[in-house]
Amino acid sequence: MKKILLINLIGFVAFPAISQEKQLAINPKSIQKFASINDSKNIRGISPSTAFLILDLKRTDSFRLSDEQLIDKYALIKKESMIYANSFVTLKNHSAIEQLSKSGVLIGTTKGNIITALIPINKLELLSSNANIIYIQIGENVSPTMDNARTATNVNQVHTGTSLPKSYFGEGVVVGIIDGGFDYTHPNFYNSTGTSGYRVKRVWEQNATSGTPPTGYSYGRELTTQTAILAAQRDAINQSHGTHVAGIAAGAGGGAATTYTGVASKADLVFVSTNMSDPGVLEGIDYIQNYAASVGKPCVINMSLGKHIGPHDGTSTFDKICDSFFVGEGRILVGSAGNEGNDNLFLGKTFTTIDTSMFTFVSFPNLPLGTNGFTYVDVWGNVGDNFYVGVHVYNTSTNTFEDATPFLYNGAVSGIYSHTLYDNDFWSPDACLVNITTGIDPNNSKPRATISINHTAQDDNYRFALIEIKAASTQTKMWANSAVFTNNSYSAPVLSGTSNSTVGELGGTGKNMISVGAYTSKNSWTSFASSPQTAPAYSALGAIAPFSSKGPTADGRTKPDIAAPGNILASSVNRFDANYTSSSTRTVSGVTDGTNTWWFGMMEGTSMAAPMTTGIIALWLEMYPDLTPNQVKSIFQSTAIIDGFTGTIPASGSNTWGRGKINAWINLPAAIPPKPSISPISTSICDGASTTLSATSGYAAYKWSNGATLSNISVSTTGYFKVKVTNTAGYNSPWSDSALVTVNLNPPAPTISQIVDTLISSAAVGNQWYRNGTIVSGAVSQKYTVTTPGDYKVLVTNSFGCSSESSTLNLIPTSISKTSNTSGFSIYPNPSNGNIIVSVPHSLSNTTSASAKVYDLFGRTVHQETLSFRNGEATLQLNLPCASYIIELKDNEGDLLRERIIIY
Amino acid sequence: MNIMTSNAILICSIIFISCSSNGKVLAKQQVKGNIEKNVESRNSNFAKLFINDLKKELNKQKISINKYKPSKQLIANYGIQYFNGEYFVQGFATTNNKFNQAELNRLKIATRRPMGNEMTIRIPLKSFLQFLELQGIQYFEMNPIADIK
Repeated sequence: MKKILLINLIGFVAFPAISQEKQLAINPKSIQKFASINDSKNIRGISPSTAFLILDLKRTDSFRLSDEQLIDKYALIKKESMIYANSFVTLKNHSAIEQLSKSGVLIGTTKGNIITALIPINKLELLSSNANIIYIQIGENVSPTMDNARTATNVNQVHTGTSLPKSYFGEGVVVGIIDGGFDYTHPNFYNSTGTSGYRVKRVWEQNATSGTPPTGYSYGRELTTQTAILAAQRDAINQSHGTHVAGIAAGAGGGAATTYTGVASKADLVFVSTNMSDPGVLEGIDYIQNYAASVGKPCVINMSLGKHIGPHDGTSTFDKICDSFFVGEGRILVGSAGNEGNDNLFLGKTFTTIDTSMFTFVSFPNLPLGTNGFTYVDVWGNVGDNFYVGVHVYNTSTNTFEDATPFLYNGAVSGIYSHTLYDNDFWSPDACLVNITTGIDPNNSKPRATISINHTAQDDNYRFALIEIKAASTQTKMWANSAVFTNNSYSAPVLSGTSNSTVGELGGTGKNMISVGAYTSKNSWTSFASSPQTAPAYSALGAIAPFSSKGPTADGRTKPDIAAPGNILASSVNRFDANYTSSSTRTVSGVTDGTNTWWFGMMEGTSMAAPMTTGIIALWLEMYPDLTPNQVKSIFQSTAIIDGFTGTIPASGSNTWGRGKINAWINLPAAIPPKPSISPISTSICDGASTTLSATSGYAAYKWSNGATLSNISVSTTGYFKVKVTNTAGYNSPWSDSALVTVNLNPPAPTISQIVDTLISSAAVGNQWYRNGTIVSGAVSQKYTVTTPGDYKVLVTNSFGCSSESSTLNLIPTSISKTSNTSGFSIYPNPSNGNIIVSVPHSLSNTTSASAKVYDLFGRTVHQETLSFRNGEATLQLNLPCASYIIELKDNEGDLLRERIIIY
Repeated sequence: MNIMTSNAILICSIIFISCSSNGKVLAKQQVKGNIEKNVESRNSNFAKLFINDLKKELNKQKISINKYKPSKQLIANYGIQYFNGEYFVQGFATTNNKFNQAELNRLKIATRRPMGNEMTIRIPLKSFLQFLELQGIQYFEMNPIADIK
């Protein structure tokens, strides 16, 4: 897949530009690829949009745009049949102005060495190589919804469809947001008008204390209609996180005059206001994916959530279930790496036979005293090993242990210890509530000790909880959920934690979870109240956000997978959140409808980086609905933006940046095989038969709608059949058109009845008689009189051309034939139903009577009577069983006729 | 590393000597001894913490679990949910061959479709102690709730 993607990047134009211009971030890999194939070495000093225009002008394929489309796409100006690009031109010297004029360029204003000019678009390429021109930038078709994060990630190019088959906005994709603090009414969740085209399709409020849960669940309230969702207005969580996250991923801007359109602005939205429990989040995933499946759409789910209790190695129950059941084609999970990139909450220790003990202080740097918080600490050992763990209260002022738990051994036993430690404050001893549980985790067989430390009663800034671990020849890894580990300037074996391996559970550690770190795309803003503001987590534009959690995971995998803008982003906020008002420093814009105003405000975190990625993946899912997590990771590896901030990304990825900065602008459609065809597209077969359907050949894999996986399939049932093909890069084609196979019923198998030498088929029509397996020419009637011995059968064919054949009947004709009939008498019909007419020959017209005798085949007389002829005929009525008989006519002079008759 | 070795290490390391002269040095500590006790092992560490805290609250309030209302702290620490007038505990469960769905039904315990060996489980708090006695539950796992990032 990587090879194909790189080739596709040929279509992505990226030209080196002059440094004083703020440039779009372009993957240097794509620059190299483009330059090497399109020989653009003479083109220099042009903006990306200028380059795209030149490329579009040079197109000769089916994607070539009409003049009107070019004008619309690049905000060109048409004057007297000439089309101009409204441009900024940076000149090396002013002598270039004359050259420009001679080229038909209409010069506008001049400011220093920069001029505005209308450049005939057919002169752009020529002028771009003019040595007196430093830089050309055509006026970009600036959307009123543009903001830094979309620009930095090249989302805007995907929105405009630049060098892509079309524009992409996530249409036909379900974006699920598992979060809290939703304002369902925000105009950001309508279409771009902000008032129509409401896109929230389902809501599950897991925290609702009453209401109707979704089908199959036993808690929370489900809202399934626009009316119900808008009537509810918001969830019970009175803050803005979910509204902000959803707006980043899929906000449409809220209407005119807002610059904060999200990424997948035409995607459908499903909100799960979660109870934040692992089962709750997991069931939220299930709920969203079930909805997406019910409407036949691919789905990407954002979880800007995390915590630090767990193995951090992808073996938690949550991670295992997600990896096994909730990812695949068209099902992508995205999580935030965490905001602990500055926090020394991880401590790994290798014990030897002589280095058998370690201590670390539990510190709460965000609390005034630094000592008085509550946290869980999760300690993990290696499989088959064990360790001891204990907790002390330690006075760093007097340098004394003041109280301690016993040591809990963590091995093949499971224990719990609960105790209250007290410090040595004589007048008012402060409690430190400690619970330690130990056991072997069944998911990974690792020994584990989970400690809760409630030191909130502590009122001194020098009395710390101190954790001690003892072990030999093994390793332990420990994380604090709401604290950090410090050595408080004590020497070894007192250890400090590190900010490595701070990627959190839920959003960060899953093997198929797309974990997202954050970088800075905006570090200052002007509030709605016109007050200039600086980002709290300030860093240079383009630099990693200081808080962005880092890998690796405990099992050594590189995390995060990618970095996206997360510091600091503007997006929709909850109208019911009092933290965002017109005067709030973080409020930047508002949309008013009637008496209500909905705000856009600033937030930072990997929580914001994750939905940037979620939205981008939604764009990709619109391009390619079968996208898998592994393909997403491969795309990251092939296309992520590498720059001076990321530095060179190692082959295995970076534990700060993942594969680099996410780049939305990929020509995924070019990687997808074309729709295959099936031959034949329509066919009929008879019941019991089969037909072969053949898909377009030459692909790596095939996936038929009936589950078959070969290029050709044998079909014996009625139905529609379609196929997807997979190329060697692992990309599936769209479904083929459906081929119809119709299975027609065969006629009932005929039976043969026999009367003497006549065979009679049970089918009235469609018969063909066979003798010894060979067609009897012309024998197509219901009856066939056998004259030659043999094996006879009849084949019956219905109007569909489907046939059934009888069983075979061996027949030797009887030797009885006309014994004598020299008198000219005749009888008819024969065979008959017993009513026989005896006709007198004209030569004997004076004959008035005759005796008739009928014998069966054993020679027994079964009937006799005297016939009286009238008008040369007499009627003989034989009420005899169906069989063959001999009739004998006599008059006074002797025999008149002896003949075999058949009564049926 | 076996238990004997571990004990030896512990004894050896009760009194330790700092190996660095750059920082402060911890004081000598008192020996507190070891605890190696067997308790129910079919509950996750966090579930055991919850059970411990739950029993403390029940003992403190001296009421049966049917009339018990968890404290705000317990609700916050363990993600206890309130729905239609009842408190619930959420977690994951794996079952063994003694599992009997009828027992869960009797206790009004809701489960979601099994995912591999696991299923999500939602237990009315008033049934929780009875749930712990069920023989068909091989492992019960609770976890702290997540934070938004």
